Amino acid sequence: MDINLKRGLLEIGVLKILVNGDSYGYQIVKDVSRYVEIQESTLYPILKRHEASGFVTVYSVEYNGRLRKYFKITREGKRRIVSFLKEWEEVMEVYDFIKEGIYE
Amino acid sequence: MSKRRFIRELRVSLSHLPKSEVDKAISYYSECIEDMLDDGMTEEEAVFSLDSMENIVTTIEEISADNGVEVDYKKKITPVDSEVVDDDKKSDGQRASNVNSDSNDNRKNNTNNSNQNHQYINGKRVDGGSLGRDISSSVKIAVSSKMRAAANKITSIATNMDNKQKSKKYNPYASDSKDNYNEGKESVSKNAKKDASQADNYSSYSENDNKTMRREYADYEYEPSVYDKSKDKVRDVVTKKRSTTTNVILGLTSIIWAPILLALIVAGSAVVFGLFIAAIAISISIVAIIVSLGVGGLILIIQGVFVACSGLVHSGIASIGVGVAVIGLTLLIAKPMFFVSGKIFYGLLGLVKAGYNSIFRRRARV
Repeated sequence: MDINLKRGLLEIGVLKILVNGDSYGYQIVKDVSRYVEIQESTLYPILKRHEASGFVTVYSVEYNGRLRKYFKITREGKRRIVSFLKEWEEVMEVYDFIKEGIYE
Repeated sequence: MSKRRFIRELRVSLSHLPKSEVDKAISYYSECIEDMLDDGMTEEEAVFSLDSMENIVTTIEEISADNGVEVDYKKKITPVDSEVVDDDKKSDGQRASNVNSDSNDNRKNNTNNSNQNHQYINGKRVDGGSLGRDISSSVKIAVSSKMRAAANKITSIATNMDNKQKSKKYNPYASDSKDNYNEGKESVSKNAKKDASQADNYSSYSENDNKTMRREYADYEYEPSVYDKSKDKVRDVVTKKRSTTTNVILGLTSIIWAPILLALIVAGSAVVFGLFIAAIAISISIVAIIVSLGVGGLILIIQGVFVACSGLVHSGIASIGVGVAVIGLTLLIAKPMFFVSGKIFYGLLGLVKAGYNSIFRRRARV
């Protein structure tokens, strides 16, 4: 998969995971990895970007005598997913156009 | 690699970034490793499953630059990997497993392994395996005087590092540097075939790198991400060494406070003694009341009260007097003591000067 396409999908994938409920770094990696391969080092900049863009907020919860950072999706984050899905419909139209007649 | 060491290497590798950015990244990776440990992994496995240090650092640099953080690449430090020998052993097993399996996990492990199996020469990455091949291929090269000089230089640096290591308590990379130098020393001394310029680069890089790392850790020992319940947040524990100036100030303070404390103890004792006398007087009064309720008894009561009051007043005066006396005495003794010690110091200084002059003059005559 093209690296830029993968990056874009990962960004939306992370937001989608957070729609299901607040989560933390390691759990997000595990959940997203079911669909797209991702490492902790890849997730870090994505989370930072989402935080800077206001798509997620961060809060800490005590767990086993340490603090664990949880990420929560915001309204803007959910809007971003909707916007992505609309854009993707346009992409699919182009995809169908490109695909037409190619495999025949 | 242990979590502690990974965090240290990450901190050193990110030393060219602002502290706030470094702390955020370390907090993130520390938390990830802790979660992996809770998930049943060992420390080694958790660190091994992460991306290579090089990739991690590059990613953090990119995101910092995107967020408008100033990245000073001139200050960038790349830690020397001391696990080259161990990784060579691992890579044998890894190669064997790769023959039988082509799974994603194995490819991932192999990538990570090859990423860890390297060291840097003048900032240029050299794989442990390729370095070994370079050394063995250079067997064909004739031994020159330049190579022997390089071997001697590395041996002397290695010895020097051994000595430095013994005297540096807070150098976490001391053992690494020893391994690196020993490895470098053996490679050149035993085989005497390694390219001399490469050897020079290797030794100078390791020396400079370790000097920088030693500066990083000379003043404090770092234990990241400790949860502080009282403040309800993760804090960094930094244990600073006490400076010589602080020690001198504390010493002088204790000298001044000692006589004052003594005076207070003596005054306190006097007060207790006065109270004791007063208590006796009151006891006499009570006895007098019991024995005689007449005029004689009343006189005795008045006498007893008088003696009690007198005891209290005396104890107060006595305590003040003793305190003043002790402070006065201390000041009286302290001044000549400083004066005498000054004289003794200058006397000793004079003796040293005289001794030095006599030796110097004698040498001049010779």
